Amino acid sequence: MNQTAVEVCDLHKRYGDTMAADGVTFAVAPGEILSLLGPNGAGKTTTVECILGLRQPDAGRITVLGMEHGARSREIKARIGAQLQTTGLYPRLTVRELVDLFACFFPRARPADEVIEQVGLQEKAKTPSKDLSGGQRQRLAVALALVNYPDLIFLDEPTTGLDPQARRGVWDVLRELKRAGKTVLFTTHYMEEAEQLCDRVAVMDYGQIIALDTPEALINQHFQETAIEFVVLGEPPRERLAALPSVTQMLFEDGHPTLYSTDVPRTMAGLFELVTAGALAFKDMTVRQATLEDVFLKLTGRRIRA
Amino acid sequence: MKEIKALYLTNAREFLRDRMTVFLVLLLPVAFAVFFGLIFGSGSGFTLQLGIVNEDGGLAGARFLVSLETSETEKMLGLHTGARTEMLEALNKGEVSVVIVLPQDLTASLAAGEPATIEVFYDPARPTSAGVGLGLVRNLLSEANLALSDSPRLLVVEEKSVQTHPLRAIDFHVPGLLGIALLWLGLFGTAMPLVQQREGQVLRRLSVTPLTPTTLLAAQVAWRVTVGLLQEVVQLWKSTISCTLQSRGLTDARCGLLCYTVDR
Repeated sequence: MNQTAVEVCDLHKRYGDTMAADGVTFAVAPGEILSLLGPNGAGKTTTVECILGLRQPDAGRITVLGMEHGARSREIKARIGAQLQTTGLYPRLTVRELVDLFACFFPRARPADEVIEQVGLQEKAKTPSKDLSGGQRQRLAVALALVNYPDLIFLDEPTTGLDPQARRGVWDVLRELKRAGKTVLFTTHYMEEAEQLCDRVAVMDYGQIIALDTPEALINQHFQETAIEFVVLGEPPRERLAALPSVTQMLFEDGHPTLYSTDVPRTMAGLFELVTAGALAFKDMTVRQATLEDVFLKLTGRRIRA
Repeated sequence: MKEIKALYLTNAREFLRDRMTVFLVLLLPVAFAVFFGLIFGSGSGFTLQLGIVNEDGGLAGARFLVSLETSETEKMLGLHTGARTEMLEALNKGEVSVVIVLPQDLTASLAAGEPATIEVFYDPARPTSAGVGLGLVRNLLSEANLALSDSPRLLVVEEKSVQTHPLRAIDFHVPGLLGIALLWLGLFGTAMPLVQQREGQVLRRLSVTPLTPTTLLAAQVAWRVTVGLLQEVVQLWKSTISCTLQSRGLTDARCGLLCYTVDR
């Protein structure tokens, strides 16, 4: 295998006035799981579609498994597996028939039963795809991406729109891929998904990668603080909260503050002094470590789901 | 080749498992053919609604009328007689296509060996019926002229059809059926499924596999040809049923009408 599974260099793609990819540069190493993390419209899907050859970049260079699209496009497609954001399937074909169909497009294919079992759809093998639930459809889409012993797997928002149980089902599949040492590039706007499943995370916003590292490194790099969240009853005293001891940063969302503290006991003491003085009343306090959500907030000034 | 076979089977499964598609592609053309056959197939030929105004009280006018009623072309004529105003009003209403007025002095003129002028009224707004009607009337008057002048027929037409091979039922059926099949295939059998696959992002999903557009197209063509043949079989089967029923006299005239008109 090549040194890099995917290499994207200075990718540009524009739709009218919108710059969907604005100088995107990153590489995915073999055996690595890398996530493109960002809100809707950040340019994640455009980047993946350019890598898959579904869209022609305006500028930039993309190599997949050491090859470029064009003359070697079929060769690339024979070695990759892809789950697109919107999965179009023949609605009246059963799960098994769809897996068999896609298997025959590739020179090398896994047995249908094995793939169906891997995504936990054995009981639905004879069910038409139109009768599957959203989570089952997503798992089927992942199954179709795995049917050809792919060297590289692309998953575009595999858990978007799924209920928590269905999301966990897809996560299990991703964890299995991780254990198997597969190279995966997937997009998501769920922080916890990126944190739990990825080796590295590329944070995207407005068509650019604004941070790229392991989740832990990103958090440590941007936050030494601990987050203190609570719900304020009444009008919050913003200035006095920001002036609390050891608070380096404060965020308000829907009137509810998040304080980032380098010394939680000192900050808490100051907080309770405000309560005692009658300047503050609050409930539902949470003390937690900083997350990728906080990193995104610091880098962009807004939450990812905003 | 295995990709084409797999896609062919996929198309077949998608088609046969969708009752609405089966209905639209295979059964609706039959229903349409029957429907339009019943509406427009009420006879094989053209019937000229001919209005006669006999202002001549003599023998010539009466003989002309009798000759019309007994002529070979009588079965193509719908004869209406009446007064001039009555017939011209019928022409205005479209109830007759052509009106012939036999003049008052017809018998007298013929007896004197002088030509008589026969007025012929038609509506140019209805060019087809008027054109056919005028031609027919000219032919009738020409025949009448010959009969009145006792002139022998020196030139006789002998009609002979030239046929390179005996016409079989299938030669008769297939062109029309192919036309219907192609029409339906284009509208419902090809365009609709392809648009659905494109809108449903199926084609997009296939485009990230090594499948080539040529292979996809070959499978589509193979399946559409099969659907066309299926349509032919259904149409021929329906034709056979209706013809058999008619020849055995087991059904009413409507079945015969179907056999004669729909299957043309």
